[in-house]
Parts: sequence; C-alpha cells; structure tokens
Amino acid sequence: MKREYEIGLIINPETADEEAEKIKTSITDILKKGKGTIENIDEWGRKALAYPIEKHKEGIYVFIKTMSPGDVIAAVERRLKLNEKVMRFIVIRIDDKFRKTNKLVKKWEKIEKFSKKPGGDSDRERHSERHTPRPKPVTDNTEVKTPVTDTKVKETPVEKKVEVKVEEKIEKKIEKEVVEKTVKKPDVKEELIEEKKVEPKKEKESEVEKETEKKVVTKKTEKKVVTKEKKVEKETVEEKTDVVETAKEKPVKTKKVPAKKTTKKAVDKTEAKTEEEVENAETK
Amino acid sequence: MQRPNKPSRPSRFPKKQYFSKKKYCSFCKDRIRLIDYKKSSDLENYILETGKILPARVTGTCAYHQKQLSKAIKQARHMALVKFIESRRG
Repeated sequence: MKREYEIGLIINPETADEEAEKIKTSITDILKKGKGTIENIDEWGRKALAYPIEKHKEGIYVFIKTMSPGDVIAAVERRLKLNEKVMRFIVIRIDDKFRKTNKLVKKWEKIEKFSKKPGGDSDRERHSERHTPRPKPVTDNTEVKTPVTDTKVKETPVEKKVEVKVEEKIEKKIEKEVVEKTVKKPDVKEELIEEKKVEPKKEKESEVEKETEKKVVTKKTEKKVVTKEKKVEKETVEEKTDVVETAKEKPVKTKKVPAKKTTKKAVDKTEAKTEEEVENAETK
Repeated sequence: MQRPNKPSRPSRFPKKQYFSKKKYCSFCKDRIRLIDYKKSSDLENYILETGKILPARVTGTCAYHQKQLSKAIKQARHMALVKFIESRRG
C-alpha cells in the first residue's frame, strides 16, 4: 500500500555539492526500485541552523516528497542512519485524512456556503450560524439558493410582460382621464375657434366675451362640475350655433325677398299697392 | 412600616472589566488543513522568546490545530529550523 511520505535531510556543509547530489540520487533510486513515485524535491541549499549541530552553523537542506510503500521507506531510513554525511533526517507520514474530506473541512464548506464573502471571520460566521434557526439538510439550502437565481432569471421576462400590460392599461386609463379632464379644454377651444370662423363678424365679439366669462367661471369650480358645465356648454353652444345659423338665414331671405319684390313691383304697379303687398309678403 | 427599597449601592471595589478582541484560530481562518513544519516563520508566532510553545488558551488556536502545531514545532526543532532554548551569552 502506497502512502505519502516526506523525507527531510540536513547534509554536512563541508561536503561538496556533487556528493550532496549523490546522496539525493541514491535515495531516489531506492524509492523508484520499490515502485515508489517521487512527487516533489525541495532543495533549499545552504541555510543557517537555529542551533549548532556537530559544531556546524550551516546545513544543506533537502526535502523529498514520495508516494511509496512503507517497506521502502524503512530501507531508506536504514541507509540514512549509516551515512555519516547526513547530520539529521526526518521521515513524516502524511495521513490520508489530510488529503480526503475531513470533519473540519466539512465545517469550513458549511461556513463558506452561509457566508457571503469567501474569506471571512470564521468565528463570527459560526456565531451567526448558532443563532440562526438550524437549516434543513444541506441539499435544501443549495436548492433554496439556486431557485432564487433561477427565479430572477425566469421571472424578469414575465414581470416585464406583466408590467408592460399594466403600463398599457395605466396609459389607457390615464389617456381616458386626460381626455375627460384636461384634453377637453383644447377641444372646446377648437370648437369655439371653428364656431368663430363660421359665425358672422358682428356677433363674434359678443359671443367671445360670453365664452371667456364662462371659462373663468369653470376654472374656479370643481372638476366634476367643470365637466358637467362643459357638456352643457357644448350643447348650448351647438344650440346657439343652430340659432345663429337660422338667424343668419332668415334675415338674409327677408332682406332679399322684399328688395326683389319692391324692385319688380315698383316698376309694374303703383307705390301704394306695392307697400301693401310688401307688408303682406313680409307677414307671410 | 415598609421601608422603601434602597437603590443597590455600587460596590466599593467594582470588578475590573477588561475588554479584548475575541480570539480566533488563525489556521482555521486561512483554511489550513495540515500545518507544515517547514514554515518556521509561521511557527515562531506560537513560540515564546525562550523557545516555549504557547498554550492555546493564550493564542486561541483550536484543539485540532494546536495538536498539529505542537507536533510541527517539535519536528522543526529536530531539523534545526526552530530553536529549543534561547541561546545564552558566553
């Protein structure tokens, strides 16, 4: 069974670099013969020691990481003990528990799920975790988190459509209201302007004055009343226009008819008879 | 006769209140699974000047990491990366 080991060496600084490499290669050869794999080799070179070893203040540091069976490691240890140029050596087994998921790692993963920031205060997060109601199994949390994003993605178009519909409705309503309240005034004005054009010049001024007075009154009164009055105004104005038209037509006829009659009759008949006939015609 | 309730008299020698930052395990914060004995610079923060290992009660490291740390310091001492004792003069 292969396991991960780390071998550390401190080689005597008096040895030459070539000899130090020989020691290193000899170890690697043993490991490779025993079906071991060398993962990493760290060479620090000559480095000051924290305390003197064998009256040396320096040492050549070499670290070798391997995946190899335990028997081979034991053979390497035997070889290193016999070697006089190796001042110190250490063999450390890195347990499987450090490579696989761990209780602590699971805790960290849980904290990372709850925490917004990737690297926050773990204690504070744990503290908050304690006080928050304990969540259902972790799968639920992931499910709860994912749909939020999905709903954001999915709901936005639906909401937009709804909003658009609502906006259309609102716009229509607003338009209706505007037509009822505000837009009526210009309509009335336009009608008035049209009426002014139709009306004769003599009657224009008097009617305009009346209309202006009415406007002033309407502006002061409430809106509902305004609408009602405007409707009334429209009707009245229409009636007035009819009256005006009738008034126009009648006098024109009366004026024309007697003039023609007078001219014709004056030529044909006497003045006295003509006057009586004219009066009769007028009455008719 | 009912005596009115006396207001609680402040104690003559009030308890001294010390405020300090909450301790936390720095290894947990950095999400370190295995403490490496080769990084002597990290280990030196958990050693006194005399070379003693600081207790977790002082540093705030969790038990999981304190076990590893004490082991790593001992391994580093063996490899002359960390001193055993403060070297005396002379």
